[in-house]
Amino acid sequence: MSVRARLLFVSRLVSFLGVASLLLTGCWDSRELNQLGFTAATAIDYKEGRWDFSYQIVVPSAISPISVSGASKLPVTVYSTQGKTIREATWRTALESSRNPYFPHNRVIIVSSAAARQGLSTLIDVYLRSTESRETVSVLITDGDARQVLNQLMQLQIIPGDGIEEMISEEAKALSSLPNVKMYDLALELLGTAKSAVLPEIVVTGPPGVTNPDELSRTNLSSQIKLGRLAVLHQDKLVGWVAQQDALGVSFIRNKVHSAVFPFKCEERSRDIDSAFRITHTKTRLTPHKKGEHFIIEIEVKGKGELMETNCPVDLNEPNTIRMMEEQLEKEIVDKIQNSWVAVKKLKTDVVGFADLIHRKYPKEWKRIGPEWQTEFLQTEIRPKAEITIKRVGLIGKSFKLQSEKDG
Amino acid sequence: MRQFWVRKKKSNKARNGSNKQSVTSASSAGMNQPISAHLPTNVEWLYNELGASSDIVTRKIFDAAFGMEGVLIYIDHLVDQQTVNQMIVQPIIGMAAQNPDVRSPLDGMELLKNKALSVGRIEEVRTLGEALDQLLGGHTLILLQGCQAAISADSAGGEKRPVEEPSSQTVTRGPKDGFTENIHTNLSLIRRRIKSPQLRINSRQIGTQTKTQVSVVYMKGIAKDGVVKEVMARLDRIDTDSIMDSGYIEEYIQDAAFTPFPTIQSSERPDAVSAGVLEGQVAIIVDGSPFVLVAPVTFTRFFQSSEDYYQHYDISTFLRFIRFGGFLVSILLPSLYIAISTFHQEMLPTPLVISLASQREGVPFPALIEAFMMEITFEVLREAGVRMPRAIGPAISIVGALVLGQAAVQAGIVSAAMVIVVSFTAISNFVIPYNNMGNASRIIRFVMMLLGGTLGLFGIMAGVMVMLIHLASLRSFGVAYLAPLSPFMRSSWKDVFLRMPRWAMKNRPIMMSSNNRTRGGEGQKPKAPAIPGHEQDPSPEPKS
Repeated sequence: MSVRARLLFVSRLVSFLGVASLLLTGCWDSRELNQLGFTAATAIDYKEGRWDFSYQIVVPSAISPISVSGASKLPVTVYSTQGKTIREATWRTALESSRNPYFPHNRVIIVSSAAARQGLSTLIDVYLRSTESRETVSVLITDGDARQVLNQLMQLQIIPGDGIEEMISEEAKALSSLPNVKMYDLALELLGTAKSAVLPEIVVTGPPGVTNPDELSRTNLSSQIKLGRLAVLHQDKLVGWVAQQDALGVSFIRNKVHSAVFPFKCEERSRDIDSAFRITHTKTRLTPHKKGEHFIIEIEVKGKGELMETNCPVDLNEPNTIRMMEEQLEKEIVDKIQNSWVAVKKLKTDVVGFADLIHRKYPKEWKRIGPEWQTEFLQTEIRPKAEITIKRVGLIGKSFKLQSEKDG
Repeated sequence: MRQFWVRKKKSNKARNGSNKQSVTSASSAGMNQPISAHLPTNVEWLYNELGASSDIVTRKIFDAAFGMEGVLIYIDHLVDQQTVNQMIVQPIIGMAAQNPDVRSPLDGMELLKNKALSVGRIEEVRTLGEALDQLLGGHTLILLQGCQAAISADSAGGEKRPVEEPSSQTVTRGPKDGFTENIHTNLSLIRRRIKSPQLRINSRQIGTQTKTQVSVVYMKGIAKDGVVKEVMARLDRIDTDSIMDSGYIEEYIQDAAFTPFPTIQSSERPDAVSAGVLEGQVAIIVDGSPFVLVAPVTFTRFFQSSEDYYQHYDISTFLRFIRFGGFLVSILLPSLYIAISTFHQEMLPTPLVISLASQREGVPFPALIEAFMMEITFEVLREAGVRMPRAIGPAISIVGALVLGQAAVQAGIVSAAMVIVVSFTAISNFVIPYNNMGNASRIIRFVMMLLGGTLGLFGIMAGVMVMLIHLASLRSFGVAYLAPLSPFMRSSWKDVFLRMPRWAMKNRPIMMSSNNRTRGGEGQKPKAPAIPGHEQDPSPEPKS
């Protein structure tokens, strides 16, 4: 065989093998979009010693621009499976669904309080281990049947799982009482020095749930999805709840406030709470100090914001008035922090992250107190301080009340 | 091995034959036979060679009484009748009427050449073969009894198309003239643009049957000598019977035989070709083709439209990015859509993937098949649009809108997203100013789709790598195809992705030009004159 012929043979062989390998092996893990069950939300429950897993799967034909005859009107469907382990339960879906659940687009995961009491470490392990699921999923907790939340339909958002995610992320941006906790945040906090974390609560108000499209055709739904309290976890288990009104204080200590609106008294002597303030650009600095055997945490909140409403007879063109209002605001924030501190202390769980601070600043002392941090935490004191600047007062300087009193 | 050598020798011989300016057809003997003194022999020979075609016109001029006999021969369809009548026949009759003193045929010939014929280009031919060639070139032959030479007067003519606006490369601003099929017109379009003594035109005939004139146009001192030599050598190597269009030449002389990418540019625009010639490129003009070849060429040149230089540089730069983007879209968009929607659904934002999934609901084919179907449909429509008789145009557009539009989606055969992807890809293909680069992307697109549909993004990456390696390996007459990107030539980047202002591009691109690189002088950036009364005080001279 001459060199030329051999070259020709080799090149033909290579191209044949190339084409054959494309045709034989190609497409082996390709999945068409209409073979996937896009999971919008997942719920996890623990019942009778078994994990109860539910998925809210999107029904694309229901939101398709082309109406397919005979397709369901509901945008989602919910499956439930049980198993000793989470993954096993997931794969059992094949027994009842034509499409395999596809997790990368899962927006929220809802944990029931029963499951949270059982411990979330296995769930976190599943999320970190699997290539398909994402750690950026928002985690919420519900004090009841988690599946109930998935069954609920929403009015403004077609896909409820989407809606829940939007709700919590908007809330975290605008009101900052409850944080939007992603799966990796949860994992990191549980691995932190304090080994504790918080989760926002989600509740379905009032039975019966809205699970039927007919019920959606009312302006006032019989039941709705709402955000509730703040759940406190210690070592992957639920230990208790912080009420919603104290949750903002916790957010202030944890430096998680993006923007918040809260009412305050404009003057020390006024009887009613009649003004509202929107705080933005806030920052919290925590400085631990040693005091004898125990610790004091200095909390400094700095913030700017806008006066949104007032019913005091005040003239805001006066710098003194503004200064007075700022003092009231500072007092209000310090009060909030104190109240939430009392609530957190009751739960004996350091969700505010003091352990980390002390560990960093006093590593030697930490060796001593670290093992008994649960009890030592209760001995810790806080010294909250706030420094608020009113940057804007809106379009009018004098309050309407002042104006009308003057004229009258 | 031995046979290989034999073959080479043969082709060498053929090459030598075609190298001569006047190509002789090997079939008939006596091509080099001198013109005999006996007039009828010559005429008979010519008649025999031409097979007594009906369009050969012979006319007796002079007679024995005059002192010499002669015959005028031309081919009816090759000459310009007016030239023959007014410049050749009329003077000859006039001369005969004056009854000059003609002592010998040679004398008469001198008289004809110098006093009578009012044609600019007159040659004396001595062999019959030469005479035949001149005749076929549209010249008029005057044969005289007793002369061993013939006069050949240039009377070439025939119908030609007027200079029109180019149909394949249109601009909104800039010259509107385009090349035609006539090489003389084309050469004049270039000559008139570059009135430089350095502009050189070198012509030859290629094609043993068609004897097509091919002219090489370049700027002496700007074009690289090596490139000019290489172009001529490659042209001389061509041994074929016919050249119908510059496309024939392109296939013979391009660097790589197997590549979808064009390594020779072809342009219908005299301004584009002239600009290229002024930057050191060599133009190859082929008689009978309005498409002029330009070489050497780099990849990025195919994204430069001549209009870039006529409109403001900011919009030109923006449009260049659009063109490069369009090229990438044209190659990759369908394959990326297939790969992402069948392998990497997690890459898409949730609302988008849900929307795509809802559109695919009820579509019976996998995305790969769906995309192939739509792409082929589009290619069929496009080809039909080019080939069909003009009168059927509206019918095609109606049918096209049906198969590539809402009707196809409503029939549940394809998804709406795929229609958008295919349509956008198709439109993107047309932003590339040179059609042959657009064609390259059409072929590559299908390969990429197959790779994307079988191996996902990994396949597309592999495909892009292979394409880049291939591009980097290409050469166009010794110039790296990816220059100035690779090899990196920073000084020539002013006219690649960006189109710098004219005054900033002081030098010619380094890839094409020889050492003579300066295009214009320094400091030509426009400056506003100072407002009277607000002149800046001259800064005080530093004391030193």
